Amino acid sequence: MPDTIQFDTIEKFCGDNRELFRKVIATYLDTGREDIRELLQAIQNENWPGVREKSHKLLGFASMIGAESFENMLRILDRAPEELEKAGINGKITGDIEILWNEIESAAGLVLG
Amino acid sequence: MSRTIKVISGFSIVLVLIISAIWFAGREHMRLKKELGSIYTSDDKFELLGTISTQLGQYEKYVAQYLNSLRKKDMKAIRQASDSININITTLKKISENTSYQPYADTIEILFRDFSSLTQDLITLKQQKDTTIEERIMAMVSQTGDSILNDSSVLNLIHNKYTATLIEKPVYIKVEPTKTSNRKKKKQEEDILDSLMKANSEPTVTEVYEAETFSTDSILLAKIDSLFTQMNEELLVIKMQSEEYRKKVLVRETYLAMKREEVFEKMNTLVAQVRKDEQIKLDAGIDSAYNKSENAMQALFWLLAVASVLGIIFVIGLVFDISRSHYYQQQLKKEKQKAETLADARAGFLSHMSHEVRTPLNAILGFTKLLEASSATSQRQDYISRIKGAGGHLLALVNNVLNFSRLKSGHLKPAPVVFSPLDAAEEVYEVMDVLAVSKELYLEMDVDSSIPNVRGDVLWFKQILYNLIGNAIKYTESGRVKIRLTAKTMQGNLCMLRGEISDTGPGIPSHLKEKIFVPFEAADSMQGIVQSGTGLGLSITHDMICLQGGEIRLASQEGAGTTFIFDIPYTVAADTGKMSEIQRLSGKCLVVDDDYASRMLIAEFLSAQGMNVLQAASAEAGYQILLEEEVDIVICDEHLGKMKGTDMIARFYRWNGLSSRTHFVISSAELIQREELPEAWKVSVLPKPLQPEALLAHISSIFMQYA
Repeated sequence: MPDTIQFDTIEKFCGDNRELFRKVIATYLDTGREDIRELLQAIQNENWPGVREKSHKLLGFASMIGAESFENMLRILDRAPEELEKAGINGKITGDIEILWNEIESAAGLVLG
Repeated sequence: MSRTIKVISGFSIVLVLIISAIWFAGREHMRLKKELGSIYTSDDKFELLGTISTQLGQYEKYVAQYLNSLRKKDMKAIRQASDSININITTLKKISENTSYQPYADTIEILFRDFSSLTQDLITLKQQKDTTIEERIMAMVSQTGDSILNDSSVLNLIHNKYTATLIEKPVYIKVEPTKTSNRKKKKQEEDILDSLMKANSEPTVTEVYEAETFSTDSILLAKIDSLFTQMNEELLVIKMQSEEYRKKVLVRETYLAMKREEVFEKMNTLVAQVRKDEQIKLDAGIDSAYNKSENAMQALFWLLAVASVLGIIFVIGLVFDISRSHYYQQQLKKEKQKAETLADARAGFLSHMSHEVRTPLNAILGFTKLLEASSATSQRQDYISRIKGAGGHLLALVNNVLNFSRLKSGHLKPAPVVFSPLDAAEEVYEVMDVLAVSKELYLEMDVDSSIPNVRGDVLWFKQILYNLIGNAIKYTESGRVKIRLTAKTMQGNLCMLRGEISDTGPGIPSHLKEKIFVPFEAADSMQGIVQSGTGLGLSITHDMICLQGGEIRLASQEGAGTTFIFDIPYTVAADTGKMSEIQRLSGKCLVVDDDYASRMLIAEFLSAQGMNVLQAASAEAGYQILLEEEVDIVICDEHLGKMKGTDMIARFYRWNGLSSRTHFVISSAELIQREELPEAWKVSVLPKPLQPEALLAHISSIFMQYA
């Protein structure tokens, strides 16, 4: 079952300022894309400190928009990224991350129109 | 026995002993004084003997004077001295009655009587002697029958001459004719003399009186001469008698002297004896007094020793008691500290373990969701759903344990903000209604629209509702769950909010009602009756209500459902309008976050609320701003790359000291506890993701706190 991605919290922060709302979402997506790219690169390179840093950075946004699956995955990466290698699921998880991020972008696209 | 009673008892005993010692010492002092006084009264005898001795000396002196002069004045003094001596001797005898020296006093009396008698004899003798010579002369003159000789001047002359010289030097008188120019008369005188010479063939004249001294009458001269001649013979007799008299006087005087010696010797002996006796008596008295004094001192010593020993024992006991009490207090304190440390450790452990358990649980749930999204078959979906349900349940349990441990350790306290109970209840209703619907239950809510906005912990309020409604839904298989919120009382700015959650479940047996809020009891007691749980939900709810000054109770009947009723006192907010309308902030705020979008979002939000907002993308940049600007509130992310948010705060306090008014709000997805940070810091923690209402309420509460 896909997560229910909501932008209510951001909306509340922005109040009636739709321009700000759009700007914030756009900024989250821009920086998020870059962070995702670097995160996937770090996973591929088994750069675990880098994985930790990027996953932690993405956590705030994920939790704010209620992307629970994405948030849970980021928590795993934040806390025990080495386990991925041991479990041999590096490749699988990078694919999942891309899928989940695409879901977020789709949801954001719907909100932003 | 309480310490006060011990102190009073101990002091009383010691005090009684000391008073007894003082009383005893005083009594013995008076007794000894009296005894010693009685010893020294013997001084009277010594004084009396001294007086008698002196008077005897005076007596002697008067006697000697009298014997020399025979003056009446001296005789009178003799009598007076004698009387005085007699009186004193009588007194001495009286004092000495029935004593060892009574015989001495008697002897002194006898001796003085003899001495006095002898003295009187001597005086009488002296007086007799003079009278005899006088009388003899006068008798001789009168025997002459010559009236001429009765002339007083002649008698005086004779008397003086004879009494002066009679005893020592017999006088022979020769009368010679006066050397006169009257030849005729001269001749007559020569004749008379011749005739006289003839009549006294062996005249032994040694002294010649001039005729003119007596009379010019030759006859008279002749008569005198004749008389003297006769007198010489008489005087010889007198001389002999005088010799005898002198011997007699001498004997008496000698005897008197002996008596005197004897008297004084006896007196001295008596004095010595009295002194000796008195000394013996005095020594005995002093010895006795000394012995009594020694005994008294010993008794006093023992009395005081006992008092001192008891006092020392009492003081030692008291000190020991205090020490023991202090020791126990210290032990108690240590045990308390140990218990608190253990409790903290337990709470910390629970918190840590809960946190540690929760993280993998989240991962499990996360992966389950991922699986759920990617699994196709219905059987797999079912399995995954079960895993998800079990994981969710486990997470709820862990969350309960975590909250419970925080509540019990006192680390979890209400954070008051202004909120609307109606809005909060509405939010809870929306969430729980989904759960109720899934069980085909009807969730009703009946709220009193007059309930004002209040000041309190909105999260706790919601948690209470979640727990009670969740329980009601969980234990009710059919029927309905009803929520009712009313303002029970309104007094001044105080609103007693009443919440009633009733269900149509199986009800709670009466014997379990008392245990329902006891930790873990609910789960133990209600096994088989209700569904499984940690047994902490109601306990947490109970503690949350009580910590806010409220109370909770239940009304239940088996088979007829249960109603939980809680009352919580809240302070009515000044303005009961909508939150977004009432919260207007001011002051300077710094937002430190390395994520541009999050930083911008918060900064814009706070700026829209009226705050002057500064931004920093790193902890270093934030620290630089803090060095230059005076900021009221700093909202910073904990994870800021190389330097963390807490590192920035620590550096800030090192540079500015702890008196700065700046308050820091740390926001983090990590579970940072306020208690993990230095107590002196003005810092609070808000979990990520930040919620606008929570952030606003938090900042408001900070301003109110420092207002």
